[in-house]
Amino acid sequence: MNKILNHIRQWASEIAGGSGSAVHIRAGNRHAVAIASMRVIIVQDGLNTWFAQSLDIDYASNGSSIEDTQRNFETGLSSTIKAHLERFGNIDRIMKSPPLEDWIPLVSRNGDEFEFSMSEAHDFNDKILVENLPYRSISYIEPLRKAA
Amino acid sequence: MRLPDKNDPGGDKESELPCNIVLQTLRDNGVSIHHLGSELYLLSQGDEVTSQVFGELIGGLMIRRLSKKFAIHIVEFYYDPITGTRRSAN
Repeated sequence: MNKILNHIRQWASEIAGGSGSAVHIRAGNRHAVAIASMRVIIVQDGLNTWFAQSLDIDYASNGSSIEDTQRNFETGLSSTIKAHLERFGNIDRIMKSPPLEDWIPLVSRNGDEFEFSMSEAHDFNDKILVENLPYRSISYIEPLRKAA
Repeated sequence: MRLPDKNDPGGDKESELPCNIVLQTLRDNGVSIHHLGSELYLLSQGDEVTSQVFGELIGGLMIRRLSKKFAIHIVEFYYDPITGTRRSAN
């Protein structure tokens, strides 16, 4: 078997006490991304909307309930990762902590916190194959753990 | 002339807006929007690329985030640029 692995990037949480990590492996046009134990804070934002902001990566989502916002977070982040891989060939622009001013005010609100992990693979050589595979799996390690 | 609320110059307390107003404001300010199906949209401008699921309403915190990401003044979302009147979800 020929050696074709040509790109591995790893990230670790920058927040105090954070255990989040991520890895991106690229071999040609094939990509695998795994994210583990990233922390996300979720707060009510107005009468009908909720807002989720990751403390580890620069991604946030919006929704009409806690559950809807979580689903939107998963779907949107997965799509964002795919878009970055297609456009930039990497996810470096996502894998950075958000500015403190973006999430510190959220901590003082009466919010919930959850952790998420996900893994996905994208093969840009064969889009039909990718679109028909159940390539994504997400497990909530501690769904809706009340913030301390 | 459009002016933000004197008591909320940063727009932090502004609330939710209908999705179509937010998307139109993004388009008007040069953000490329691709509808990926259902309620999933790909928003991009330069190196800023994000995909979001938008329902009927978009909350103030998300609007503030979009305004920062795409360098659009928050008042552009909340005030009609022609009439200067305030937009709202009602």
